[in-house]
Amino acid sequence: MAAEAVAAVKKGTEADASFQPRIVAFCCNFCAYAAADLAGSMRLNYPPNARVIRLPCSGKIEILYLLRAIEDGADGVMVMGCLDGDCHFLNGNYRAKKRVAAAKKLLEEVGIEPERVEMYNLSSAMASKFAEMIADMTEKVRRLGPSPLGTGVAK
Amino acid sequence: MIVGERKSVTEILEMTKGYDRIFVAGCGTCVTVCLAGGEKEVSVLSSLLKINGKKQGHEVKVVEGTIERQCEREWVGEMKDKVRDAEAVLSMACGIGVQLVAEMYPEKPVLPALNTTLMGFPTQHAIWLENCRACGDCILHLTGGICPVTRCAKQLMNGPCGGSQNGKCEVDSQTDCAWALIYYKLKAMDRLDWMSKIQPPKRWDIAGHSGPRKTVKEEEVVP
Amino acid sequence: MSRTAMVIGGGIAGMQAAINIANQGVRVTVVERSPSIGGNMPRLDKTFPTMDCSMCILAPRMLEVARHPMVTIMTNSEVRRVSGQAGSFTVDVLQKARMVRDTCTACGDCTKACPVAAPNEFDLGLSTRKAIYQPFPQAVPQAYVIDKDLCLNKGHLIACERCSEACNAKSVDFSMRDETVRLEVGAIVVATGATTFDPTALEEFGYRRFPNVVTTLELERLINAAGPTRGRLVRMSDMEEPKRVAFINCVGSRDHKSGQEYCSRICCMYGMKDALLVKEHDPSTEVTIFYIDIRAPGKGYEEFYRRIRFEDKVAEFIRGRPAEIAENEDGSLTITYEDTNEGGIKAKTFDMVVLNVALVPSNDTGELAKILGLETDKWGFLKAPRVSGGPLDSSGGGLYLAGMVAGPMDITDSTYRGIGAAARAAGETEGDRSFPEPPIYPTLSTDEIRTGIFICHCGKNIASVVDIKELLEYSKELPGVVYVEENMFSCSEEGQRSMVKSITEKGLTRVVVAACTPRTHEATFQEALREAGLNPFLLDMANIRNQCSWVHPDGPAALSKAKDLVMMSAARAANLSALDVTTVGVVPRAVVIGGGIAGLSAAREFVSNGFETHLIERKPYVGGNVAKFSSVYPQETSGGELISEITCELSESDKFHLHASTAIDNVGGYVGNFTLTATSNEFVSDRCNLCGECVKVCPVKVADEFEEGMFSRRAVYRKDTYPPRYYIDAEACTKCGECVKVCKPGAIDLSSKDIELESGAIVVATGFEAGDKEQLRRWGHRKSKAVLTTAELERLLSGTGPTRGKLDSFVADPKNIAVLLCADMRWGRNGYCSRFCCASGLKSARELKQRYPAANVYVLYESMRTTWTQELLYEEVQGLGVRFVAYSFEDMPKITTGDKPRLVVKDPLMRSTLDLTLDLLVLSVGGIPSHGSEELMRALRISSSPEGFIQEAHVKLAPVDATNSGIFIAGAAQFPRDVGDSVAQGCAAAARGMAIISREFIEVGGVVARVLSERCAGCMTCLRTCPYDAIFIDREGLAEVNMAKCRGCGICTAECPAKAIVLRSYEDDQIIPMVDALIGGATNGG
Repeated sequence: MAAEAVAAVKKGTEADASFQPRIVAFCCNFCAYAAADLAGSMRLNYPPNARVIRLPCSGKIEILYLLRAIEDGADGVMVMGCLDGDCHFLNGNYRAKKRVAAAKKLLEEVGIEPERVEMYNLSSAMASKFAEMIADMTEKVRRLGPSPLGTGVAK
Repeated sequence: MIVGERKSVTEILEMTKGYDRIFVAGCGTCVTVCLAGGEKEVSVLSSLLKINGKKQGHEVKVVEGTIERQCEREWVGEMKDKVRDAEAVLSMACGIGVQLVAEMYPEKPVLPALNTTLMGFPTQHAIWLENCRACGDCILHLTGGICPVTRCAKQLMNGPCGGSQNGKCEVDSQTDCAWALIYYKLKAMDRLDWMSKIQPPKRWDIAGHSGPRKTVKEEEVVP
Repeated sequence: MSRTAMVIGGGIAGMQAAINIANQGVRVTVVERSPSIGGNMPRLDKTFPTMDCSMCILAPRMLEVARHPMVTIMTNSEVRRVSGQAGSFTVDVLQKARMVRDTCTACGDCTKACPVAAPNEFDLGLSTRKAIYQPFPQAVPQAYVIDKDLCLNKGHLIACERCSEACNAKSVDFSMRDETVRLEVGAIVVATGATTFDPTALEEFGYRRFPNVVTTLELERLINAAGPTRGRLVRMSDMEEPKRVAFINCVGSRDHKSGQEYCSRICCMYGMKDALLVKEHDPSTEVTIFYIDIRAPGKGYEEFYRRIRFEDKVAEFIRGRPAEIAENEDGSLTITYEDTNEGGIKAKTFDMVVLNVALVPSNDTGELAKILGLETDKWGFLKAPRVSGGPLDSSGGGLYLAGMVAGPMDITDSTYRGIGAAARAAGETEGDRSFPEPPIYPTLSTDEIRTGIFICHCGKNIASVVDIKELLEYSKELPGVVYVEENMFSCSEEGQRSMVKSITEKGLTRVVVAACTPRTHEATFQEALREAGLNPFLLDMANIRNQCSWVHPDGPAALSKAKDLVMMSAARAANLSALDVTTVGVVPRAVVIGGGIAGLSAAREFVSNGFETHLIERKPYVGGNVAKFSSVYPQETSGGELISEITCELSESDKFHLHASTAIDNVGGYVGNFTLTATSNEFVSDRCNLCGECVKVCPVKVADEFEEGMFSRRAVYRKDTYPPRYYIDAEACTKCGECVKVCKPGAIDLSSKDIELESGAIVVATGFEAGDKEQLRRWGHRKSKAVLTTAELERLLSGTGPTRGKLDSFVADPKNIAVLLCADMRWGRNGYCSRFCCASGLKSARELKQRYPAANVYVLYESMRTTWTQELLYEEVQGLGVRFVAYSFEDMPKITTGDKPRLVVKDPLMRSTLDLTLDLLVLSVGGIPSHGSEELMRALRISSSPEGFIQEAHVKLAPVDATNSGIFIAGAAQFPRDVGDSVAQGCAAAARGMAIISREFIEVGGVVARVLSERCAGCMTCLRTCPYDAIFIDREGLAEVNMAKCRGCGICTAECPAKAIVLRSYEDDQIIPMVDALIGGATNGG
C-alpha cells in the first residue's frame, strides 16, 4: 500500500507531483505517537508532509481543531488513535471517530472535500502502518489538490 | 429545559449570504446545556463561516460572544458593542432569545442558527425527550407525574386509546405508551383508582392556540 | 535498616512483582539474565482475548520499572550464590559486562559499523543481528550490548573497534569486566518464567526438517508488523503467503512420550488468537485447528472461542491428534490424522503448519532451584507446597514464586501472581518503608516569555540529515525566542549541565528541546528544568529525530519539517503555564469486603504488613464457599482447615477487625480517602461461651445455607468456621428475645448498629454463588433426592458435615452414577466457562468410584478443561475405570426425573446411545455472581463485566484493579477461579492496596483537568463522559475535578459545551497556536 502510494506519487498520476500537501496529524500519545516513534527506530521512509501534534488521547480532539486547521489552509488533517476497543482511556478513540465524522459533514456543507479530514486507527506496534497511513493521506490529498483556502504555496 | 438543535450549515449559509461582518451570539443557559448553542458550538459555527467566506474568496469577519442568557434584557444589553459592529447577528439561542435580541436591536437582522425543538430532559447523555408542551393547565398530580398532553401521541386525557401494545405506542413502536407508564406509576403508588376518575374536556384555549399568552405575578408588579 | 527485596527474572511476572514491591516502599533489585527486561511478551503480536497489541500494553510498564526510583535493574546478570534465610539473604549476582555504558543513546551507529552478523534470538532466528545490538527497539535499558561470543575484539587478538569508533557518545567500553555484586535482601521473588518446548524430537511433525512447519512463537514474529517480514506472513520455503494454514494443538502437552503429561493451559487460547491473526492478515486464508479438547477457561475466553469457531468461523475445528506430517514436492504439507468426532483416518494438505507447542521450564531453572535450595516438580517447575500460601509460596521461606516458573499460565495469571508475590515478599522484609521525596515544583513567575531552544545532534542521528546550523539560525527568529543552543547529546550529563546553566544565566522561562521523543526523554529534560529552578511543565519537545531525520533521509525535506516542528513547539511553549503538583493525605487503613478465601488472604497480607484491616462480611461467619469443601484439590486438606489456618493468624493480631453480619450501605470518597457506612447485625458478642442454650429456645427454623439448603437450622446457629461462637441470622430472627433470656454470659443484644469506617484502599472479595439454580432445574435438581450438585456433595462428603461424611440417606448400593459437567455453564443464560468445575466434577467422580467400586460411574462432558496438573486427575479418574461420554450442546443429555433419574445421551465415540437409570446424578456446578454484588458495585462506582462479575481495569496487566481507583478485586468476585488462584489474587489485591496505604500522601495534579467555574453551566456533560468518574458537582452546582482520580485524557474538555473545563498543558491556546503557526500564521484569530 505504502509502496504503491509512493510509486503513484513519483509517477504523478492524476496529481501534480510538485504539489507538497501540508497535513496536520493529531496523534494520541499511547498508540499513534508511539507508532511514529517506532517507525523512526525502524528507519521507515515516508513522505515528509505531515506534522504531528501530540495529544494525550485522540478523545481530546475537538471539532474546532479540525476546522481551524482547514480554516488556516491545511490541505489535510489526520486524527490518529488506538485500534477500536484498545483506547488507553477506554473510549476516547470512539469519540474521536464520531467527531471526525461530524467535522467531515460540516466541511462538506461549506463545500470543502470531506476527505481532507480522516480518522486512522493503529496500535503502537504498527510502525509500517503509520508510515503507510501518512503516505496514503499524502497521496489522497495530493489528488484532491491544494486546499481552496491555502496560499497555494508549499513551504 | 428548552432544547434546540443547530440548523443545517447549508441553511445557515443561505441566510447569512451577503453579510461580511457577522456576530455569532451564543447563549450560556439551556442551549449550552443541550450542546447546541454554547461557546463551543459558537466557535465551530464561526470557523465554518470563515471557511465558507475564504472559499468564496472574500474575508468574512466573524465575532464570537456568548452571554449568560439571551432571554433577559440586561444580558442582551451587554452585547451592544458587538452587535453594533456587525452587519447581522446569528443567534445560537432558542427562539425566545432570537426574538429578544431582534427586539432590542431594531435595525439589525437577527438570524436564528438553531431550531428550537422541545422542552424536556436528557434520558442519557446527548438524547433529550420531550416532556412538557406548556399547555397552561397542568394535571401531572393526577397522572403520576407523566404528561399525557406531551407523551401521548393522541393527547388523550382519559386512558389509553386501545392501540397500545406491550407498553408501546401504536403511532411509534419505539415510544413508550404514556398511559401504560401512568398505569404502572399509579400502581406502584397504590392509586390505581385515579385511573377511573374522568377528566373534564381540556381547555385548549389556554394552551396557546389563541394567540400569545402572558403570565403575570401580580404582587411583583408595581406601577 | 532499609527494606530490600530481589526479583529474579524480568518478564511480566517479575516486572509486576518489582513495581508492586517498590510501590510499597521497599527497595527492589531486578536480576535479569538477558540484556533487556520484558521476557516473552515483547515477542507477541497480540494478546487474547481482547487482541490488545502486546507491545502497546507492555512498553509503558517497562518504562515504569525503569524509571521507578525504588527499582534497580541488573541486566545481563545471574544469581550465583544465596545464603541466609527469610528476612536476611545474602545474594551474589554475577553481572556480565555489557561493554556499552549507559550513556548510550541507542542511535544505532555502532550496529551499522559492526561487521559480524548472527541469528537474532528475539526473532527466533528468523532475522539477523550484529554482535553489538539492541534486543528490540523498546528494550529497557535502551543501551546497546555487545555479544561477547560474537565480537571479534577478544582480548585484542583482532583489534576490531569499528563500533567504538562509530560511537559519537563514546559509550562503547571494551574495558568493562564481569563483576560479582553482593546484595543483602529480605525476600526473593523467583520469576524466571518458562520457555516453549522444542518439538524437534517429535519427528512425526517434521519441525526443522520441513521449512514450513513453525512454532506458534515463530508465527507471532512472522505476523508482527515490526517482525522480520514487516508483518507479511510468508512460509519459509518460497516466501509466498500461505493460503491454507493448520494449527496443531497439544504438541508436547498432554503427552507422555515427550515427558509432559500436563496440559500447558494457554496453548488452546494462543492458537486461536494466532488463527484469528492469520485470518485478519488475509481473509481468504483457510485456517484449520486440530485439537483434542478446546480449553478456554478464563474471563472472556469461552466467548472468544465461540467467536473464532462458531460466530466468525475463523477456523475449521477438527477433533483429532495428527499422527504424521509429510512434505510434498511443492513445499506443502499433508497431515494424516484420526478424526475422533467423525471417525476414520483422514489426510489434509496445507501450505503451512503451526505447532502449538507446550511450555517447559526455562533453561537453568534446575540450577537456580539448587542455588536457592528449592524443590522442583517432576518436570522441573518450582513447587508451591503450602495450600494457604496458594501458588505463591515456594518450598523455602522468604522465597516466592511468580509466573510460569511454577507452571504454564497466561499473562493475566502471571500478573496477579507477580503482584501477589510482591505482597508476600514485602511482608518478609524488615525496617522502615521508604519513599522518594515528593519533587518540588518551582512556580516561578512566568509571564514574560523568554524561550530557549536546545537542538540536539543526537551524535550524527539528527545532524547527519538535518542542517543544524540553518535550524539554529531559523530558531533564533521565532517569536519569543531569546536563546538557542546546540548539543552533541542534549540528554547526556554534559548536555543537561549546559542546559541548566543556560536556563539560569539567560533567565529562560520556556524551554524547547528539539531532539528525540518525549515518550522516553520528557522526564529527563523536565528534571533539568526543575534543577534550574523552572517549573518542569514549561517544556516542549520537538521530535526531530524519530519523526524527521530517521524517516526522511532527504536533507532539505527533513530540514523544512524540522523547522516546522521547532516553530510549532515554540508556539506551544509560549503559552505553557507552570503546573502545581500537590499532595493529599492517605488513611493508613484497609477495608476488605467479603470474607471468603480471597478476602481472608488479602486481609492476612495487610495485617502481616502492619496495617489496620477491617473485614466486612455479610454472613455471620467467614470462609465463604471454601469453608464448605470436604477437600481442596490437589491437596487433601479440608476447606475448613485451610480457612482456620488463615483465621488463626489473623485472630492473633490486634490490627484485624472482623465485622460479620454486616452490610455496606454507602461508600463515599476516593482513592486514599474512602468513607464507608454499614449496618452491623452482629448480635452475639465474643462473650459467648458456646453453651448452646440459645439454640434450644430459638423458635425459628430456616434452610441452612451452609449445607446448601439441604438441611435446616435455627436463626441462632454456629458452623465449623470463624468466629468460634454462636451467631444470629438477623433476616430470619423474629427478635422474640428467648435467646437473650437464656444467655448466661449476656452475649446477645438484638439491636443493629451503624458503623462508619475510613480507609485508604478497598478490596472487594465477594466471591461467587455455587450453581445457577435456575439452570439446574433442567436436570431435576431439587425434584429428586438422587440429583445433587458438586457443592451439595462436598457437604455430604465432609467429615464435619451434616451427615458426617455418609451418603447413605441419599444413595445406597448404586449401580449407575453419572457426573454431568457444564451442568449450568456455557449454555443458556451463562455463556461463560466457570474454570474450576471440570476438576471438581472429576474429584466427585473419583470419590464416588472409590466409595462404590462396583458401580458404573460415567462422566458426561462437552469439553474436558482439566488444565495444567488437573490433567493428571483426569488420567487418574480414567484409570479408575470411570467412563467418559462426550456430549454436544446441540444434543444435550436428557434427564427424566421419577423415583430415579433416567439419563439418555448420545455417545458419539461409541456411535451409540446410552440409556441409564441413575442412582445418583451429580451436577458439576460453576459460579455465578454473588447475590447483591450488583448493588455493591453501584455503591463503589465500579463497573461490571458482561457476565455480572466485577470488571477489571485491564484484563492482562491490571486484573486486580477495579475501574475506580483505590478499589481492588480479589478472587471469584472478578471471575470464578480455584482456591490457589483466589489466594494469589487476594495477595495481589492487598499488594495494590498497600501501594496506596503505605504512603502518607499521594501526589495529585500536573496534567489534569481543571474547571473554569465562572464558565461552568453545571450541565453534567463532563461528569457523564469522564471514563474515570473523576468529576463531581460541588455545593454550588458546578463541576469540579477530583485530581486524585483524573488521568488526564482530556475527553471532558473536548465535550464541554461551554469551554469551561480545560486539560492543563493541552488547553486550546496551547494547541491551536501550533496549527496556526504551522499553516501560515493566524489570519483572523478568534
